[in-house]
Amino acid sequence: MARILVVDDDPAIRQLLIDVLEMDGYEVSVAVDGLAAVRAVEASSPDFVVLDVMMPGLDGFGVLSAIRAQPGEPVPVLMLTAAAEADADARAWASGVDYYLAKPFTPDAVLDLIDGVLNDQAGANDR
Amino acid sequence: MSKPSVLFVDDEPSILDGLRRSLRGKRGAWEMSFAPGGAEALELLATSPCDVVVSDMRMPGMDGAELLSHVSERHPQVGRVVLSGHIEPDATIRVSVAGHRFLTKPSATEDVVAVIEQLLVRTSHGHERAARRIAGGVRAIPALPAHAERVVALLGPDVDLQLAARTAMHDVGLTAKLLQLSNSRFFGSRPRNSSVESIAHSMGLPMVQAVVGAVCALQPTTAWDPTIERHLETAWRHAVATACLVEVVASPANRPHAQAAALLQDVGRLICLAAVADARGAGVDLAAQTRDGVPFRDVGVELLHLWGLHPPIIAAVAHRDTPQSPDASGLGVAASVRTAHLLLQETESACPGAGAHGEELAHLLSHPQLRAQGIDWRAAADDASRHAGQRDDDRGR
Repeated sequence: MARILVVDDDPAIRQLLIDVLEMDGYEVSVAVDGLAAVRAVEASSPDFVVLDVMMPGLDGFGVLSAIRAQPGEPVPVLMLTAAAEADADARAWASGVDYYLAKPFTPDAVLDLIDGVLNDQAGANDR
Repeated sequence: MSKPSVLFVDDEPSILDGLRRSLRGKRGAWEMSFAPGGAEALELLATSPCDVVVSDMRMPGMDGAELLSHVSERHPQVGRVVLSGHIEPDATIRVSVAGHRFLTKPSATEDVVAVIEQLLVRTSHGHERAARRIAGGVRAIPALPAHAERVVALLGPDVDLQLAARTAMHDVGLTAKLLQLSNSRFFGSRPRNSSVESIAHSMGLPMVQAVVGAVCALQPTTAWDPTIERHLETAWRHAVATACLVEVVASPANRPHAQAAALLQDVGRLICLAAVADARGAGVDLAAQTRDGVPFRDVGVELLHLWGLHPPIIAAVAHRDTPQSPDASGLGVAASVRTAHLLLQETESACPGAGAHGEELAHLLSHPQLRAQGIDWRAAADDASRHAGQRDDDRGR
């Protein structure tokens, strides 16, 4: 099953995402801040990253530029931002995200998007 | 409706027994038969056709590669799966064009089942059997005559991996073949590779050259009809330009699939026309874009499905001509390819349908993902088009 890394400093949102993703059968790991996220992507190369923008210390943009600088093929990244952050979507797109959702989003919207991307890629063959 | 039927071929009785046991659960779903060798398998197929053949490679008498090449000629609509242990390097050439799919022995039962079930899926309705008959017999996709020399040159002693990878990235046949083989451990690729470049690098030069050799060996030797050749050259140039442009349009993780889909967007046209290029286009209707009544695009999609290419690539090829209206969460692969295709169609004024999708294109270009790049997309399309023209000149030399 696909492995998803959830990066969010807010425990409530984190748990919400973990619950819906695990219920759908994904293997979920968690990073609670930006530095941990960069290390986790490097160490475990997840199939998909759900990345919150607003985090203390290294924020989502910083995480994104760090993981895009890692060698190898880029991992798909979904960035979540609060609507209050002005121009967050333009900044997100310009810094190389693959998918983007503004808060408030429903867990179903996240799940639908990830299902669409990952099930599309589940070209089962001799793996 | 009768059950789909699957034929397993192996000279070792214990392997066939093992398959029979482990696939007991599928007895209700599939009609299964077992043959101890290639000759017996062909005899069985002559009297009772099946949907999928799963064959070992190393067998005394007629080996698996020979069996599957007979199957591709006599029964092109049958799905061909190689299930084999270690393959000798010198057998790679024959094996790489023998099967639609490749499984290493031993494989987990669920992997065997998954591959067979994918080959039993019908990708399109109505014309499905005709599309599969045309696509199923294709073992390698030929290079256009003007490019064949450049592909053959990859077999030379002074070629490095970088050159081979770059050439493959602009060649429809090599791109499709490398993506097909990248799904299997046989050929040295790793599952996470999705770009042609990284596939070539993980396979290594000898393996890539073996694959080039296999494709060259199946290259048609007769002269092509000039009208068809010109037609395909135009389509190829559009495909290369789209692949260049989509590199800027698609987001980083979607880029490899988008580039492959862009290059393969007209693979159906190529295989439909290549097969009849020396026969003055028998059965082909260029205006209607069909062969034997089947749309070129359906044949291409059927081929990519048989070869097990990644679903986002297949979907983007299938929907190249379907209007797209992606939501704010991102363009994804298909809308990226469609955007690049429409931009280039506008640039290449000689292309039919230019300007007809102005409204859709304006909508796509106003997507936040593209707006945020701050790029003059029409200038980028001009660049891509020129770049493709240059590559063409290089090749023609």
